[in-house]
Amino acid sequence: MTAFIFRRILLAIPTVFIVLIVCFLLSKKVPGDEVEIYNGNNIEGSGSLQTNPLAYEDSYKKSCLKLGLNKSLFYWSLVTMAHPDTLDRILLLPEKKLALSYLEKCGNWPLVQSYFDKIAQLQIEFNNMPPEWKILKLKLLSYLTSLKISPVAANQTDLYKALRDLKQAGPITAQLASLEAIHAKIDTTEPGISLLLPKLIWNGTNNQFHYWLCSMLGNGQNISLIDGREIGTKIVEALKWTLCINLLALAFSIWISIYLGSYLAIIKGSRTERYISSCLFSIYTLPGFWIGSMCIIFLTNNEYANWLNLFPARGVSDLDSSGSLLGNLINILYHFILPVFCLAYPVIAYLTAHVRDGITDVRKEAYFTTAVAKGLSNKQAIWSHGLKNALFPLISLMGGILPSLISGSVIIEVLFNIPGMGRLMYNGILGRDWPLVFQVVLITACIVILAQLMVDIMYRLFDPRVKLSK
Amino acid sequence: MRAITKQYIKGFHRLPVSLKLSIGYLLLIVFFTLFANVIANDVPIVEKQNGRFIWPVFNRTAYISKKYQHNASGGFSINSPVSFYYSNQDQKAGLVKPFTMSPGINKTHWLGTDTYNRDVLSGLIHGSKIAIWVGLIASLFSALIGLLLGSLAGYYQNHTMKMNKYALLATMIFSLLVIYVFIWNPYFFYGSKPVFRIISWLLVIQSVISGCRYSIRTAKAGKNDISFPIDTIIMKTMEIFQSIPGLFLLICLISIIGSTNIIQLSFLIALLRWTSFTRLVRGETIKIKNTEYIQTAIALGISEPFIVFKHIWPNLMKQLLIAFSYGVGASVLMEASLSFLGLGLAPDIVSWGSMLNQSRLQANAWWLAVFPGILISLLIASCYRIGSYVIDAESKGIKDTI
Repeated sequence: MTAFIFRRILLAIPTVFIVLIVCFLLSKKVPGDEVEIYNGNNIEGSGSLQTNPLAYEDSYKKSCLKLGLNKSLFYWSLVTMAHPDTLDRILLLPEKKLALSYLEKCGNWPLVQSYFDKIAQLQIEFNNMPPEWKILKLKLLSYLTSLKISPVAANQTDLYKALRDLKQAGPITAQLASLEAIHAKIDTTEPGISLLLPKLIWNGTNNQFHYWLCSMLGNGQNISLIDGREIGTKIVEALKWTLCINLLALAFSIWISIYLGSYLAIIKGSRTERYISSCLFSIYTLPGFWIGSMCIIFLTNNEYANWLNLFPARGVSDLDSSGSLLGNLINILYHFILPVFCLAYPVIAYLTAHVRDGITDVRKEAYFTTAVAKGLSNKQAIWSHGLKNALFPLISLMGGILPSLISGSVIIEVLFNIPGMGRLMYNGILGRDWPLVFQVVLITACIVILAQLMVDIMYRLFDPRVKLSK
Repeated sequence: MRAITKQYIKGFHRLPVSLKLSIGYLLLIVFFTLFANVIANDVPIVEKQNGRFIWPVFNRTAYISKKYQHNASGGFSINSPVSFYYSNQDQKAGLVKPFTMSPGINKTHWLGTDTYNRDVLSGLIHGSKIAIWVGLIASLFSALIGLLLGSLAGYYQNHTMKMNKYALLATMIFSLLVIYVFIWNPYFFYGSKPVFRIISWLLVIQSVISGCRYSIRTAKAGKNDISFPIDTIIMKTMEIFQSIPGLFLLICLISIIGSTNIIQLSFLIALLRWTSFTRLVRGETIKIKNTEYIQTAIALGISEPFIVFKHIWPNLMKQLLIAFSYGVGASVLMEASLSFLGLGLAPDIVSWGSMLNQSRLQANAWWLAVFPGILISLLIASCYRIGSYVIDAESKGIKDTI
């Protein structure tokens, strides 16, 4: 048994690892710049790329280093011979993309690098210009910035006009002309064979994936891009709500479905049983988000009738916690009624059908007949003999239910405004808050695999006849 | 075939009422899908102009642009029963209740209008197209993937697929080369063209298949054989797909693609649903393969494709049909919930889920929530009912029920 568990956990490690790699590479393909998201949400007054390019680049580089985005992507990279090892030293994402596109055009990295080096050099040079040339300085800097991020330079006529008016503009014009000469050379150079040959670069552990893996496992800072808070605390806060609601829903639905299922099994074949069963079937097919929004529309306001305003409008996050403990608890439970109902009704319908079929089968067995024959009532016989055997198939259903207990239901949480795991994940993905999302993905993947393991172990515990295979 | 069809049609009246209703509802939705433009359109179905009959519903844009030039219709014309097109914005009737007459034109919004002043009934009829197509295409995709991978994994399992070591190596090197030249490196042949990519993926798949077949055929008793653990590979892939949260996968892929159309969305949904089909087909294939007649066929030396196509696939068709009808319902549900979260198709395409999404922000517009919800639930219920009927029929023996 121990060897089995050990073996399964060992086998699960590569799976989790591959899941993380897939998620990581997928997130890198999604449009959006993480540094800009982080800066936009957490650092104020750094200016935009157009108005104050130097301050912007400065804060960009700081955040980039802080988030570990200055490293290469993965342990190795497969590129062409023309690609340099040092591409990741360019921090600005649009600049990196532009450099790559130039490289694809001419296949000559030193040329491309000299172009960007020249721009950087001119930026410093122009920044040190005397203060009386302030307007010209701003114009020149924004021109250089536009050269840095877009292949076609922005409108430069008024810049040249300003330069013409100036007497000491000779060196500046010469510098800009040399820059344009390099650009023209990039445009005209034909790519050689080096673009066609592959090259494998080994990056070692100094890469973004490794950095994130380490920070996720607690070795390094692990902050959310959206609000800069520690991810662990955010997850714990969200988990509290999700676990509360899902456990309530699960307990409620198991409780009802066992009673209803055994009742249906006893009256199997009667007209009532058929009606209830078809009702349960139709309930099962109703989409949860529809029932949820119907509840919100009709039961939480007095738009249609005053007596229909039964439940509080959405939201548990802004609850007033100043009252007594019991009052708070009742208030929270009052807010939970609708979401728990929406989570529970499909599970009730589903489990009841399974319990009903299980107990119907058990009632045909000889040991059940014996139990009834020796004088037990139907109820006693089901409780003491039937239920344990009938619930056996439910163990495998638990394997599907357990992960959703942790990861939560996105739609119900978004609909009822519950700050649980589902909504955390949903907002994280929409806001491109990848560090948070990966943490949740890691937890979910582990729970999915652990749930499968638990199902296998529970099968073994409840039915000694089952043999554990591999 | 005709006899079977005739028997099915004859036996229709003996089916349970709920199944008749389900089939009827499905046929109604398919009817809406096929004739949406005729049923709900703001241009007449047929019109007599200058002594000739024209059919504006089949060429709406041309008719609308011409109408203002002619400006003389008059005479004979038949209008659509619902006189609004789904994208028509009736400026004078914003978010009106059902059965409200539109003030300017003398037409009634039978089920009211939505937030963008569009007719709800027309949107429901045109939205049925998306539900049906996404449901069918997504289930078809996932059933095909499941059938292929499931029967591979179930038939060969881990120790049966013997391959020549060197043939395997050659196939792998060739595939890697093709992948590098055509797909990975964008500078060869300007491989960013999608045609090149599709052709090269086909080449890779073809080379893998032919390599496997060649090596299996020739090296039945060779000493350079190794067994290819195809079952483990497919099962591990499934495990990985199941461990990635579906929402994450969908949102990432949707934002990478940009704006999705029906085919792309169906493919994305199939990406989440293929695992259940594969698991089902694999289990059934293992069960069927262990029966005596398949073992006899193997012992007789009948070729593997013949066994799989002629003996195994026909036997798992019934299970696949059940899974398919449940899968259509589940795909419809998934599309609706994606649109409900505002993640599905482009916002100018009306689907049932996107109408429900509008109702989330408009608590006073009950008609936006009730009608699309009823249509979705009935569609899912019909699909599930047909699936459960096939299960019942199989357990009772199909002859008693038809």
